Amino acid sequence: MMVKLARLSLWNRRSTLLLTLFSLSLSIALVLGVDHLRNQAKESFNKTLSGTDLIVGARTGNINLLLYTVFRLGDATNNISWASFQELSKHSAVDWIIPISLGDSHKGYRVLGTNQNYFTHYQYGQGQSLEFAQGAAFKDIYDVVLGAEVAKKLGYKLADTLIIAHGTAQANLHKHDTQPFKVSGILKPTGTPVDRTVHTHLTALTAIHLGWQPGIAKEVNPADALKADLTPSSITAMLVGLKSRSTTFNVQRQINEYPQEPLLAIVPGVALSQLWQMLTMVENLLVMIALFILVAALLGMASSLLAAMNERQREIAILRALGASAGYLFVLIEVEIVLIIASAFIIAIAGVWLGLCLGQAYLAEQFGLFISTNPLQIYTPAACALVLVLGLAIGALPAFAAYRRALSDGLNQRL
Amino acid sequence: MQTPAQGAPAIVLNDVVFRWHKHQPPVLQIPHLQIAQHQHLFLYGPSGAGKTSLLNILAGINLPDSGRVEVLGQELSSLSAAKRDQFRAHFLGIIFQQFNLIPYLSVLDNLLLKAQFSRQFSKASSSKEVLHQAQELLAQLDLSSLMQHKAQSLSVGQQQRVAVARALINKPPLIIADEPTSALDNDNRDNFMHLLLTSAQRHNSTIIFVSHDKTLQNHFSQALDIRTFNPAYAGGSRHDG
Repeated sequence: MMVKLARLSLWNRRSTLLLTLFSLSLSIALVLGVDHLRNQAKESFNKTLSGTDLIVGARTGNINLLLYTVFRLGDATNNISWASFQELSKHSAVDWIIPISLGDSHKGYRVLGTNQNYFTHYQYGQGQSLEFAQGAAFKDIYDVVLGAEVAKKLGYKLADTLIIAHGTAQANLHKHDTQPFKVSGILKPTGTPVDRTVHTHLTALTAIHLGWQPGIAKEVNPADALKADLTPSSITAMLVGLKSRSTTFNVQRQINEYPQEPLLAIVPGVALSQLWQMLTMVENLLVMIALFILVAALLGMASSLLAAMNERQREIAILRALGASAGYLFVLIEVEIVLIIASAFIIAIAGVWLGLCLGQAYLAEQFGLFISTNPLQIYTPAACALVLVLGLAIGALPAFAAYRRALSDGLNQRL
Repeated sequence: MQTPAQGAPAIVLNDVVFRWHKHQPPVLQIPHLQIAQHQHLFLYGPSGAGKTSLLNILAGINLPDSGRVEVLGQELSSLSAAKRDQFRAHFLGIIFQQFNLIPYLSVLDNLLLKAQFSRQFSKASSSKEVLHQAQELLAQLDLSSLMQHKAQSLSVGQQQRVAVARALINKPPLIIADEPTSALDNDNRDNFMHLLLTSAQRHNSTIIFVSHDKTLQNHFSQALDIRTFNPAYAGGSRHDG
């Protein structure tokens, strides 16, 4: 009966409580959303690459190298020579090596030039290899393999043709339209930036850039291109798998001290943790802001309940005269708070879910974040309980006001 | 806590002094007052004479500064606040000016709420029994068809019947009515008086009925002017009714 009384009393004051419920739901949604995005970003980044021992590129920052090779975020400051790639391929400790050449795009999706090793050795998640949904890896020089999202969003099927644009800017790109590519394969979804990548053969990138000088675009037809030497002169980076993990730091040191060219080798896991360390402060700040907003909303709820005590004077006096103890009225207000917070949680979770459903594609496109739409974590019930306890503690103020009012007002309260 | 033995008085007050604030003169100063069981008492007096203060004391909501208050054989000062709440819920039926039903509850829930407070104390009846009892009472008062209606949607006449039903749901030995007719027109007032008195008679309840309207005293077995037993009233105005 007490829950029914609290529920109906709240409903009776729904117009004034709506704003409280809205602000509380919004702040809980903010906390849930920030936490979810934080976790999902970590999970998404961590599962992007697996089984690669070293990433090698031109000398730059560790995080920058990680971002542009693995997450397709930002651009390389410099390339590394093909000779260095070949030299490293022959290293006794190296098991496999994947060349990566970036710099072109197709309708906003990055083009990645590589070789067959990419489809054999590239791993993501918990050591999962790439799998083809349709077709196979490139056989012909002008074949492309599309990531799942590229094929889905742009509606490509096997054997469709496409044109690659020079550069990665969003507009005014020069198109290599004399050398069209044919879709030879479409990969299964991975939930990583691979899904948003157009894969071409390394030599194809050399072919479409034949005769190019900085600032001068020159187009060659495919027949002429095939007659030329298509060995690339440089690549952007390489992913390296070693025969033994124990040699990682030794090989890394050797690459970093490579005398022929300034190279940088990074261990993906170490670079990722550096990235998180850098982001931890921002992350903590975001969580703190969200928590402050939540506390402010809880205080708002308490003050709205406190303000309502005057308009509830009559209701409290009636309950008291019927035999409700002061303690009963205290608990009644706390039950109302439980109902408000529980409703706010339901609204917030539904809101975050809806927001994630709507924003999922945008986050993937703009930030390379592949997030799940389920905002519930294993610790969400505990967090709910914590917010509830906090709400009850803050709500003790209006509850105590009801208790005091119950003790001081009796039938003399002119009803 | 038990109801008083047959023949024992329903209310006994001895040397009761009560003031709202420590440094103010007392509102009540009652050397002795005794009201017999099953009596229907009409209590009147001017505003500020201490009528509502007296009802507060009899209901156990306030305690006197000094003196002894015995209601239905129970010395109220000896009970804890929680016990007094239970006592009020179980043994008292209170009817207010304007009836004061909980507006957002249904007619039935208004009765069940009161029954719940009462039952917490006695634990004698099951929910089913209480529900049956409430339905029976509403039927007696011709309210069966309004059982699920919200109190706020009722007419004044319907509200007064629900208020009586609520006061009687726990078959209280003592009914306190605090100016319940002050907002009613003549027809509704007469209907209400008839309803209250016949219902109280059926349940053998003692009634203390407070009103300014002396024309109502004919309905009661005894009428008392509060000034006759409360010399604290000196004719000045106070916040008490």
